[in-house]
Amino acid sequence: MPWTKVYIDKADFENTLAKEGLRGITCREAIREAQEQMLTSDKNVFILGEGVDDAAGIFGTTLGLAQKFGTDRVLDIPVAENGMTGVAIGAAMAGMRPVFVHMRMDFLPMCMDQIINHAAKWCYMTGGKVNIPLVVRSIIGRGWGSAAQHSQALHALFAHIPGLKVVMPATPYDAKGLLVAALKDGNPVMCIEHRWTYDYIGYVPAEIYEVPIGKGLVRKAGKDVTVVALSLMVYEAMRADKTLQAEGIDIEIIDPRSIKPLDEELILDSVKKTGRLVIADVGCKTGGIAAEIIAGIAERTPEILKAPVQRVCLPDTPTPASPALEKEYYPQVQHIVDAVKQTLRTPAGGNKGSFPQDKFDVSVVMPALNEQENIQVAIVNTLKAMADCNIRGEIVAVNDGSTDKTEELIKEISQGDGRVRFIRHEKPKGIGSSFWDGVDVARGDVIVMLPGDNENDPWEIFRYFKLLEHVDIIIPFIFNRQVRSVFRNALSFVYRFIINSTFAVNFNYTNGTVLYRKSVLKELPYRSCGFFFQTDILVRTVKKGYLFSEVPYRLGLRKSGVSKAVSFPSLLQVIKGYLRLVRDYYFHKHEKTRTFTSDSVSAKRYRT
Amino acid sequence: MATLTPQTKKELLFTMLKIRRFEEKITDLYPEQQMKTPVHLCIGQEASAAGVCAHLTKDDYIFSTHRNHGHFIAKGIDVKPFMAELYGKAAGCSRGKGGSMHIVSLPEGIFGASAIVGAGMALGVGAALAIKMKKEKRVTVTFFGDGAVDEGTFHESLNFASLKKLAVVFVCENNFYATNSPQSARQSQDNISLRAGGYGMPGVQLDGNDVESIYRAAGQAIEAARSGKGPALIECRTYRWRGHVGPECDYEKGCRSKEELAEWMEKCPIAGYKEELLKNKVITPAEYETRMQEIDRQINAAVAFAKESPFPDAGEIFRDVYYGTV
Repeated sequence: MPWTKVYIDKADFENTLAKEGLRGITCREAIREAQEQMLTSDKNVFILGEGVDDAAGIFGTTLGLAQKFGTDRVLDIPVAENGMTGVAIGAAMAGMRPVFVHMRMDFLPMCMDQIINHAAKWCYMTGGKVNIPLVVRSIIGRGWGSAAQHSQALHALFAHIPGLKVVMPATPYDAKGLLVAALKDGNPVMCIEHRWTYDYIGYVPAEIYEVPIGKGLVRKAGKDVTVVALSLMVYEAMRADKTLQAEGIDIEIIDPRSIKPLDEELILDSVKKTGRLVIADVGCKTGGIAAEIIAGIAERTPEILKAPVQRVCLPDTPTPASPALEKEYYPQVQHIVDAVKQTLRTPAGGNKGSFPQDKFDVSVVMPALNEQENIQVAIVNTLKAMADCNIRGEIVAVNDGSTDKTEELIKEISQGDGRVRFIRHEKPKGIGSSFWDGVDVARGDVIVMLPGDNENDPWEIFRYFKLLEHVDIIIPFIFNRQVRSVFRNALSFVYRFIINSTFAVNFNYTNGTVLYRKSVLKELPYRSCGFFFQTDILVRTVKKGYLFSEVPYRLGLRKSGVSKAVSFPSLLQVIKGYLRLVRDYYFHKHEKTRTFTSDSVSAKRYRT
Repeated sequence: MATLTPQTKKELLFTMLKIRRFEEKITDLYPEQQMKTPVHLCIGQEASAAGVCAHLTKDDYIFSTHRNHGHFIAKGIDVKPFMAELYGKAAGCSRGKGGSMHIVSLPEGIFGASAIVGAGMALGVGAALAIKMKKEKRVTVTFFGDGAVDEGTFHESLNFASLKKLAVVFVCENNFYATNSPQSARQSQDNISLRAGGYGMPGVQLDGNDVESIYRAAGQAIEAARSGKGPALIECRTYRWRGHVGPECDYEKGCRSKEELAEWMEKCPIAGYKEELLKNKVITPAEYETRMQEIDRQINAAVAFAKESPFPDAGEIFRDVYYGTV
């Protein structure tokens, strides 16, 4: 796509886009054009800043605007950064849309009171009654001895502040689209540009368009290592890619474009694929955005990392002036190349053990599809039941594509309790898939599925936990069938009859909260994913000869929401699963061979 | 300037009284500890709010500080959502997220208030810049204390307002203390009103407890600003009877002397004025009683409303961080 393409040199651009007759302009022209078009289309937009109307025109990004729109709308201002930021905010309150331009980002610390205490807070402090549509453009400098007060990248400071949005475009297309989006946003937006991106050329449509704030982009797809690159570092990463490709290393380059909000999903999806992460930032290391990106993964799915993460940042020192020192100070392409290789140097098997994990007795897999009424109670009850029964356990909640608040509610608990984790399906995948996905990340030795509908009483099953000293599977059956409808009981009877007679077993109930030794599940050659999964597992494991025990279980009344068990699609799944099991059972006899996993009770029993 | 009409005199008196009663209601109720917000009371300083705001319409803008109750009442704010905000209730003007220091009411041109000393002046100048850009006839008034004159934003704001001839009037309520620091410990000269001259705008120093002289001076300044003649600075020398924050007087803590407070209480902006209006038959005792009952009724209704209103639910924490999202 022409609007996602990064051209690291001009010839590159001319060879491709220019041939197709697409318009290419520099970043500085794109920024100028965005402001010119917004001044034209919205009479409330105005630009203020020191030198916005002078002959240099903020490195060319405001050239000619004062001539075209007059110095009433393109205002040179007193050298009073904080007061003038307050003026811009006051004007924004009264309906204007100011763009405050700072030639150096280093001048922003002068405005911190107005940006942090006022612009960022006003919408919140007034209960949403007064919003501040303010855009603050600031430019990161670099080189020619600019030194400690003319080359800072302070974006992380602003990303820390609730109420601010922070964008950092790298390409001309994004520079224009994000600036337009910022001006239309209605919130204070910090547009942070890097002066060294200004001469890069790229495709930019002539008309007004917006790039959504908070959406990142894959600049180059790859499979080996994810490189998240910010601002100028996007170009450096593209250069690193050339070197790495020659060595057969395929990196995926992600340009977040905005750092607040940050497109965490995009980064996470990429790292899930590659398992390795390098972050190239234009700012200092400690407390920076790179750290935030890593924290996002560490909090959610640290297990996807196959190797320690690498950060390519500025050192934690002020910027020195001498060219000899500058050369050492700024990370080069080679730093990214080295960092990528470092992530690949970690031995096979990854870093298992580097994230200390508690040992758990049991993992409760808790699938939930739109269970906002029940999910929190289900989790809390389960944790309480574990405590009561003296079981060390964890919960792996599986948000099976909920469209309601299920996930937020799970998060609420998981943030404060390490025993509760969750995984997400973007779209509903069914109860069987949810179960198996939960099994894959479970840390406990024993697995039980308790649906997030809170219909099952966790005490009822945990009370039998000790039985696992004698068997590998504990199967509950409902002894108070009267709580269910006659129809449901009849259905259950017919189902049981079919299963028992087809496979020559004698189960009382196959759809309950069965406790499995995890190793038994890991052995299974086939994973049934529909509503039939529990029956499928039970038939296969019991037929294999694993020891099991059936225990009485009291079913509670359904409290809220609708059960998804009895429906036409689930019936189809059951028929499909049943036929598959029939095929495997009658035509693949080898499945019945008695080999037990070594840590099962069955193995000990049968071998001695 | 012509003498004030009896109607104007009455309005000035009852505006001051409404502020006084509102603040006194807070001091009465504060010990219940249900109003969990730091209150900065303006008892003793009511004249400047009443005298200045009497010239403003609903369309005019007003900016204030942490000590904002008087200004906003004088500007005509509805005291119900105001009181509910002090109680941290969902029906508060800022949905329970602003508290006493961040009161908002758009129908009266109240965009909110800043609790950072000196900041409101810059915001007020910004609103005045918007007025100029939109070619409107509004005026902005920005209130601040003598402490704000120490801040850079005082100079930044006066300079820019004068440079662009903006319709803004700066009203400094000089109560001689920034929290507990006396003016003499902070400023080499006691000449706040004279600083206006440095920026080429009129500056006037007034007895901040003389509501009529404030009314006259503010009238001139606001009229000039509205007609495009640019900004002005008014210094009202007054005194706050209570501590910097909270309902108590602070002489017990040794912040200032009891004698100094007693001296200023003698110069109460309301008591003498009320006597004068009664003596000159501008108001009758009966009318006074009726109006006071009405003021107390409004304030009591606001308290009842605030106390009965529910607290915001927990989800409110995440609302309004960003405009345009829920």
